[in-house]
Amino acid sequence: MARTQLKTLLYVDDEPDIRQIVEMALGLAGGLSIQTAESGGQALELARTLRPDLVLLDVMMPGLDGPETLRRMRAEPTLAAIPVIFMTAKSLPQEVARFHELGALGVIAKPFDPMRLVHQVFSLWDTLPERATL
Amino acid sequence: MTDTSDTGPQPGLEIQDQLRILGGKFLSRTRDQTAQLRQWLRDLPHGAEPLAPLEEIAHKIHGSGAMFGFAAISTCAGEMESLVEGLIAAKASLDASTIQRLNGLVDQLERCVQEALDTR
Repeated sequence: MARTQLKTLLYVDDEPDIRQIVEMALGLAGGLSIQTAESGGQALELARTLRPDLVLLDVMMPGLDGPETLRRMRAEPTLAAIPVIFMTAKSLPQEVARFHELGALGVIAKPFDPMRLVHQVFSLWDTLPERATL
Repeated sequence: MTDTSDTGPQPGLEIQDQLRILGGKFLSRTRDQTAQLRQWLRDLPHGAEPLAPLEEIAHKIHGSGAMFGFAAISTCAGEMESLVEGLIAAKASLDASTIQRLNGLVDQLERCVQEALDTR
C-alpha cells in the first residue's frame, strides 16, 4: 500500500485574482497539474472529467458555495473519494471543526502566504491515510 | 475551466513581481468598484434592497486586499462585509444611519485605494 502521488489538482474560487495567485504559488511545486474553476457548478463538471487527485475549494462563492459543492461531490460515487481542502477567511476553530465534519481533509486560512502554499497543501496531503495506488 | 491566457501568470517573472502586477490591477478595479458602491447606495430602492451583491463585492475586496498586502483596504472592506452580513442575517433593511455608515466606509475605502495607488 502506498499513498497516491499528488499530480493533479483542481482549485475553485470565484475570485480571478486569487485563482491566479494560487496557480502561481502551486506552480512552484513543479510537475503538479493545476486546473481552475470559477464556481462550484463548474468544479463538479470539471471534476467528473479530470478526476483530480485533490480539490481546493473556496468556501464563500455565489451559487454553489464550497460546503455545498463538497456535499454534492460526496453524493456522487465517482467524486466521493476525492480529498477536499477548504481555503477560507472563515478559519475560527468552530468553523474549521464544521468543515472537518463535512468531510474536508483540512483548511487553509486566507490570506495565505503564496510562498508557503505548496508546503501547506502537501502537508495536508500527507495526512491522507495510505491507500492502494490507483 | 477558466481561460487566464490574457491575464494569467506570466512565465519568467518571479512570483513577487507577478503579485505586484496583479496588485496594481486589483487597485484599479477596486477604485471602479468603490464608484459602483457609491452609485448603488445613492440609487437604493427603499424597502427591499438586495444586499447580497454588496456583501459579495465587499467580501472580494476584503479577501483580495489581504492577499495583495493592502491591509487598510482589506480591513475597511471587511468591516463593510461584516455590517452587511449582520443585516442579511437579521433580515433587516437599510435604515438611514446604516446607509450613512456604509457611505462612510465607501469614502474610507476610496481614500485607502487612492493612497495605495499614490505610493506605487
